[in-house]
Amino acid sequence: MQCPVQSGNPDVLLDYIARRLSVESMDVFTRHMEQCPDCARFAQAQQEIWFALDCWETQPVSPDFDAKLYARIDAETRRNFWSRIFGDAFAWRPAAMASAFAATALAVVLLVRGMNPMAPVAPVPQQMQQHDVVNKAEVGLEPEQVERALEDIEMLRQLNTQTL
Amino acid sequence: MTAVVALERDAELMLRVREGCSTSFALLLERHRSPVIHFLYRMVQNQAIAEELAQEVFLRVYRSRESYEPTAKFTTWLFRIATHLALNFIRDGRHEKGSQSLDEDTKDGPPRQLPDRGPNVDQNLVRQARLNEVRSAIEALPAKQKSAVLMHKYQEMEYSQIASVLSCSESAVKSLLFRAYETLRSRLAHMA
Repeated sequence: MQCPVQSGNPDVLLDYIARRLSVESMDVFTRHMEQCPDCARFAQAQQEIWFALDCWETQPVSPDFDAKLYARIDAETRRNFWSRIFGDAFAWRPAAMASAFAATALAVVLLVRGMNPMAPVAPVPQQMQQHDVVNKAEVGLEPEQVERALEDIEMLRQLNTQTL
Repeated sequence: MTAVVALERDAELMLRVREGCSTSFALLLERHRSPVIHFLYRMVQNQAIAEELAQEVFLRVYRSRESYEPTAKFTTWLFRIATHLALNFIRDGRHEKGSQSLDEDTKDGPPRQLPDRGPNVDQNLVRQARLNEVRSAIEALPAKQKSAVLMHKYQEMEYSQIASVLSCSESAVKSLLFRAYETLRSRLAHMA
């Protein structure tokens, strides 16, 4: 048998100490060490390291380790569910679109209310006239503006349908 | 033969996890929880951090379930994730020095208890001193050598598997181990 230490192949010694050699190899190597002081010294020193490493016991695992892990998995699963519905990159879109739709609808309502300044105005009870803050002369809106607003609403409605 | 059957079983379980079987994931967790945590504990020398990193390991295993392919042994993949996280943690320097005094209670685990019978107290003190020496010696190793030693000694991994975990050649692993053990022999020679 070629000497592992002299041949620069000491991993055989590591395997010997770790008892990973086959039974036959173990026997061969044991006989070799009886005649090779270098290998015997190496093996002895390595054995002591092995015993020292055996001293290093570990601490018990926390009893709630699994519970914490499953809680994290559940949280991640829930996050992924909402991401799949709305998409990670577009998670904000539904809220933004709903806000835009509401703002446009409100603008249209205000426009329509002030749209026809020539229509007869119902008599306002006297006590309310003092609280009328709408200056009809200032609401000089064109029908084209109303049309554009209605087109915007329709476009948003279509976009919303496509996204969801 | 038993080891080969057990490893194939791991891959089989993981394939079932891929199909949505939570019981299989629980079985894998039961089988590998302690080895992973103990490996990480010896790497970072802090039980709380080891458990936190181990949580991340199993979370990544779960996240990867849909794309899992048994191209390597399950434990190779598992310990590759664990080693990667541990090496990142050590490199980022977020750990505290791992030596713990006998005088202070451990916040991470059960408090140490030393019986007050005479001979056993001495034995325990000697044992604890040896343990501290070993821990310090391991701690002082370069991170890759440390991980190679821990996988070789405590996980009883073959050189090829360690090489796969560390993404290097078998000869590189043997070189890492030889240098690591040589360092440990010189540091711990006085304990013989």
